[in-house]
Amino acid sequence: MIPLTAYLSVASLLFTIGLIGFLTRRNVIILFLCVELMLQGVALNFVAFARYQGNVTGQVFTLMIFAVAACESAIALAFILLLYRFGKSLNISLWQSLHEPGLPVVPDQQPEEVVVLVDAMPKLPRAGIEPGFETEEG
Amino acid sequence: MVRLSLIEYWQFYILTLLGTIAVYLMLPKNLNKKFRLLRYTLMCLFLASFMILLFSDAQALTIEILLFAIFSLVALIGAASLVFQANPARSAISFTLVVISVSGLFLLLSAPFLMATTIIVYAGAIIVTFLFVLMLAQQSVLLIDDVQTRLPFTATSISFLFFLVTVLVIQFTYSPAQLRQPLQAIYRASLAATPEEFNQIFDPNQLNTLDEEVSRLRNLDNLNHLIVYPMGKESLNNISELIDEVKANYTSYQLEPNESSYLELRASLRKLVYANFGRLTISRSLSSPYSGVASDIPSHRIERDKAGVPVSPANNVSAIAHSLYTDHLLSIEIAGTLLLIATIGSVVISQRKLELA
Repeated sequence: MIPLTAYLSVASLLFTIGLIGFLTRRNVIILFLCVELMLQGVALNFVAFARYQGNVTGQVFTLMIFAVAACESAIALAFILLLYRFGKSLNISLWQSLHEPGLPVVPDQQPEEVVVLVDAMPKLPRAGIEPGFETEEG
Repeated sequence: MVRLSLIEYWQFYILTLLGTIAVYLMLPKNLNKKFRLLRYTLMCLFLASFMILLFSDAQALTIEILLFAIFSLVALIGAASLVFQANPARSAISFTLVVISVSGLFLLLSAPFLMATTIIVYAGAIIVTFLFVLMLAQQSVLLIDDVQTRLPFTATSISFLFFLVTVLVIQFTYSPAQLRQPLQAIYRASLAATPEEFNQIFDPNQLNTLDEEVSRLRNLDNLNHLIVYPMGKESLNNISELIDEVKANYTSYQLEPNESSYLELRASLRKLVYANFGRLTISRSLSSPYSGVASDIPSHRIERDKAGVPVSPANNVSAIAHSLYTDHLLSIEIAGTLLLIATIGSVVISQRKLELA
């Protein structure tokens, strides 16, 4: 039988990794993914406690977490689209000017070397064209 | 009063240190290839030692432990890949990996309904929405935003400090069942109505005597492990006296097995069971029997199977339904309202003002 401590420790490590991601990363979408990761850790805690107490209230609570997570992602994604429309970027540091006046601006740590910007998305050839040789469209 | 031996948990300090270094090196500020081998090795070492530490006192490698290890390792690797990945689209895909393996853990915890819900809601709905927004907002090249980090060392060390504190509290509070077995034996003994029933549970001619169980309770590292129950009004000295009383009564019952000495023994056993080991007693549980075992019942009095796991309802979906529509009726109404408001809110936030040309 697996001890309750094993489930709780895994959940706490999931929460910690999510916390690190939330504090360090700068892309808004990754921040929200990290929040969802932390919620997964919490949900695992609830279900483990429910199992080891022989009570389904923890599972019901996890269902409530799902409802709140769904609401949160709906609102957050609408908000991200709105911010993107204003700033043309997903970097959350752009909105640092919203903070209380008079506070020092925390600098972001830039990458150590000059980063070669590579293509993030794969480029597919246009449909109907056999890949492998040049066409007029390029 | 209770000596907390923090030194005993030295493995967790080393684990935390290892994790801090590994995660700091893995964060996407180091896109150069310098420490690539080192940081992947450290990360693997961290995850492996975490897993080994969790099962350091397991007797045999059962299939359950194997499944747990696979699911939780995949979940943790997915989580790490989510955080360390520079490309947000890949992060979203890694999150799907986390969700699927966490739902595997839900299945191990006998919550099949939640497993299905997690896969449908998270892997189905939320991730697809994230990818959709990513498609609308993300440029096709890797941006500098995805590589820069804010205060990476401070954030990592503070988060791992949090992890260390949590794991230590978990180890102190819910450490495995050293206490549970003697307490359960004592509870079963206290339920016996007659000396005959009692002798069936604790046959005086066999090895597994009550005396042994009570002594085991006493010998648990100088009552150190009694902290497995949150402390309340009862002091440990008081419990020590109760144990002495049980032992004295048991000796007199063995010498002279009649009705009156048995009644004395049972009274002292019940006193020991209801002392709850300093657990804070909640006067009344707020949930009905529909939700399962009430939360004010101490864990040694929960009905368990042979492996020591509490008996949970066989029919998970109907158990959840019963609980939802009796004990948690108001919560589910509120959750429904919340979803409605969120729908309206997201439409209002994201709508664009149309201007007629």
